[in-house]
Formats: sequence, C-alpha cells, structure tokens
Amino acid sequence: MDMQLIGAGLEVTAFGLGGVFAVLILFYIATKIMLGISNKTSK
Amino acid sequence: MPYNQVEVPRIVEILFPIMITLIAGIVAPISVALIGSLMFGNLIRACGVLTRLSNAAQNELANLITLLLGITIGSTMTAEAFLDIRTIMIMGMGLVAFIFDTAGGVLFAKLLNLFLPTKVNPMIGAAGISAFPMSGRVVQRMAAKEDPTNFILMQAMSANVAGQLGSVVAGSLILALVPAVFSAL
Repeated sequence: MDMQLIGAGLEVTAFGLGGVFAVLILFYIATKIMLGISNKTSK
Repeated sequence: MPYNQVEVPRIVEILFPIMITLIAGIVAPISVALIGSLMFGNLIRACGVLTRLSNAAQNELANLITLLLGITIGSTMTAEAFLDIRTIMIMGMGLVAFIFDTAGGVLFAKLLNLFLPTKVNPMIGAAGISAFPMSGRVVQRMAAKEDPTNFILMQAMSANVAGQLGSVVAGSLILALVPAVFSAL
C-alpha cells in the first residue's frame, strides 16, 4: 500500500468536506443576514 | 416535526441567487458555471418581471435540453464503448456512493439530534443528496407511510437543494484539489 497516496487522498477528502460545509454554512449565514436586514428595514 | 412558515420579502428572493453565486464563485470558482445556471433560473423566476422567459425555461427549454442530452448521450453510446467492464464498475461505484450518502445523511441527523433541543426527523438526512427532487419526494412518501400525519416535504426539499449545491461545490473542489495535491507526489 502506498501510504503517501492514501495520505494525499485523505487530504483531498478533508479539504473537500471542509470546503463543502464551509460554503453551505456561508450560504445559511448570508441568507439569515439578508432576512434580518430586510425585516429591520421594513419595520 | 414543527414547520414554521416564514414570510420572505421580494428583495431577499432576488438577492438570494446573486449572493449564492458570489459566495460559490469566491470559494470554488470552477463551480460558477453550474451554480450560476441554477441561480439564473432562480433569479428569472424570483424577479417577477420575466414570467415568459421563466415559463419557457421551466417547460420548453427544460424538455428540449432533456431530449438533446438523451439523444447526444444515446448516439455516442456505441456497443464497443458501452459494453465494457468499466461501465459496470462506474455504475457500481455510483450505487455505493448513493448508499453511503443516504445512510450517512440519516446517521448525521441522528448525531445532530443528540445535541439539538428540538429534534429533527432523521429521514430528512436521507434527502441530502443531489438527486433533486426525487429523494425529497421519496423521503416524504416514506415518512407519510409510517405516519400519515407526517409532513416533512419542505424540510426534505431544502435538504435536497443543499445536497445539490453541496455536490456542485464538492465536485469543483475535487477538480481543483486533486491536481494540486497529487502533483506533489
């Protein structure tokens, strides 16, 4: 088994998973901020 | 599961696709072509002044693209290219990926339930895959079969859309990361 190759695969997996979760959390935060601002300005 | 209807102002509906495209473009630039197309459809529907274009995109254009894709793929699917052991391997890997994805979603929802004060139905986790909208519908059907008062369609659909966006971002991150990490080997 090529441990270096497995390590590179795990590195891609970790960065990929982290990136996807980060992007989805950013989408959530951006939507919440937009909703909050628009609710504040409409009052 | 409790469902709270939230009134979304028109300006947020219009800004949402623009913001999503911008964020996706900053984090994973390769995903902009796909996310941008998805969000363009969202924008022409949400803006309310392009009804004719929105209807055309939802009906005629969607049907035409489906037909063209089918014909294009079908015409290149020659026996020599298709009847190959690698085709079965690709289908097998896809099947395994879908099984792990569905099971992983349910298990992750169960893990979240350990910490959440308001528990969520773990079946929603199974809808977090990119097969839109079938997985959301199937989850709703299974939930209603267990208990006819169960109505988790909206939550399942939102998980389904998140899965769709997540798979686009994951694909673009892999396209960017694999050459960068593996070139060092």
